[in-house]
Amino acid sequence: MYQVITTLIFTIFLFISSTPVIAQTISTESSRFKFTNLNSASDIPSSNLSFPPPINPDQSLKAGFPYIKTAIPFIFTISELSIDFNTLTPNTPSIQTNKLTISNNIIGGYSIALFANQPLTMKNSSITIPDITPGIWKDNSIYGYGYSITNNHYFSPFPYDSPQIIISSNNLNSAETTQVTYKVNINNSQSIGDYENIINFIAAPIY
Amino acid sequence: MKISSTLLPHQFIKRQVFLFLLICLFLGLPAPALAQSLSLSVWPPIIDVILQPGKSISQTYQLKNLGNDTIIITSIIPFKSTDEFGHIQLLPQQAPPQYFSLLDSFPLKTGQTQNVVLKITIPETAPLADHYLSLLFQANTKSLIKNSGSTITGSIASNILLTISQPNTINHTASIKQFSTNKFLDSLSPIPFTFRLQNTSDNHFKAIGQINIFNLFKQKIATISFREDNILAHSIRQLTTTSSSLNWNPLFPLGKYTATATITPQNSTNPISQTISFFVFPYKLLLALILFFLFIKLSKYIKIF
Repeated sequence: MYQVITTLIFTIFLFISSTPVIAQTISTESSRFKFTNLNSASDIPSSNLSFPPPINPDQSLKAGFPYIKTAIPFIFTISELSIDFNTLTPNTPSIQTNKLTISNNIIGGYSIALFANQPLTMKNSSITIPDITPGIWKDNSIYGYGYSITNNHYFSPFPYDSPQIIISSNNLNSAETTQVTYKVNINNSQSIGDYENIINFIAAPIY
Repeated sequence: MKISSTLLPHQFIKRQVFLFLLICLFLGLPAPALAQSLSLSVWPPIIDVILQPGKSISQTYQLKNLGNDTIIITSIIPFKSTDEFGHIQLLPQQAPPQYFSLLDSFPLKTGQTQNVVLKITIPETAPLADHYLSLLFQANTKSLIKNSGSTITGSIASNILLTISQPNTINHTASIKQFSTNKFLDSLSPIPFTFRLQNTSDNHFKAIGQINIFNLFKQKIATISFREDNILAHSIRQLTTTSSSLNWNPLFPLGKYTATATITPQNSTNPISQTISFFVFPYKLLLALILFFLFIKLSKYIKIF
């Protein structure tokens, strides 16, 4: 009887003291992205691409940065896609803003370039609003269209031929945001109408 | 419709009128002009490929839309290095080599993730060379301009470093363009180094190496490992660490030190190194102490006269 009681007590003690195995589901933003640096869809037999790479590999594919051990994606956000000046009034500058954000900048650097397809151009016409001359723009008697990424009223014209880098960073911040200010001012001789163009921002990580 | 037993008929009518007015108010209001935003996430941000002519390889990209519904247009554009820190300048005027195939365009709804397979096929006759390109995902999200204004579009890039080579033909070589710090440094400040490495070969490689710091007695007291950055063919890159700065932060260094930077280009067994020496002295602290004692002396002098 004594042995039975002892065995029972011991068994109960074991049940109580043992840590239960709980199944855990981890689902974070980064964990949804799987490493794919082993050529999942390669035409080359995987045996030829075994890791670690040999001293002089003839062929290989490595995805991501070797100094970042988790597959954290590069994220680019633009806060507002319509830079709407409504109806333009001569000698009254119209100003709009939006924000560009790079998230997960643990790769240690990125750049953002921009270019426009054309100057602000009247719909169904070739009449344009001229580009601003680079410089400080506070005076309402200065006419044109430009952008600024600084707080000192320094405006630049939009590039058209090829993307021009406007922001570059080597920082290791989790997120970096830059405000872009768009400013247009027309004179009395500007033809009445609606003017439009397309501006493209390109965010690229460092290589 | 069932009338609640707790409501009197006139109360029920009042409630119905109120609800009717509320619905009219909602229906009568114009739809709110919601701001359209763009947010894309891509992984991997870079791929590094070595491939022989006549072979092919694939990589799956994961593109997630964190903004509004959009249409994605893909393109591949060559790039060149703009500085010594790894930033790129896209070259849309240059045609990329015709080695790549992937989906041209596809819709991507809010919150949706799309796997995009990039297939790289190198023809048998392809010349042995490096190609540096960006895979661009351009989001064309609908946005409304009422009168005058600009429509904004955005693209996110993922870089491709491609080396086409035959077996055992890659010969990475490099030279140290600069390894320096100030000759005299303060004990209370971090010791900053500058290290610029030039790739003198025809193929890009990753710089693998470190700076070893020795004290006056030639004992190794610290090691700073370089971040394994890519250095494009015939270009210079300033190397850093994973903390984005090439600083040594000792507790209170004093005296003469030597630092030896050693780099082994990827796939090479020939390390290159350079050694510099510098003196560390708490001169700011000493200056402060001297000024303090001078002040005390002067105070006494002023009191006497």
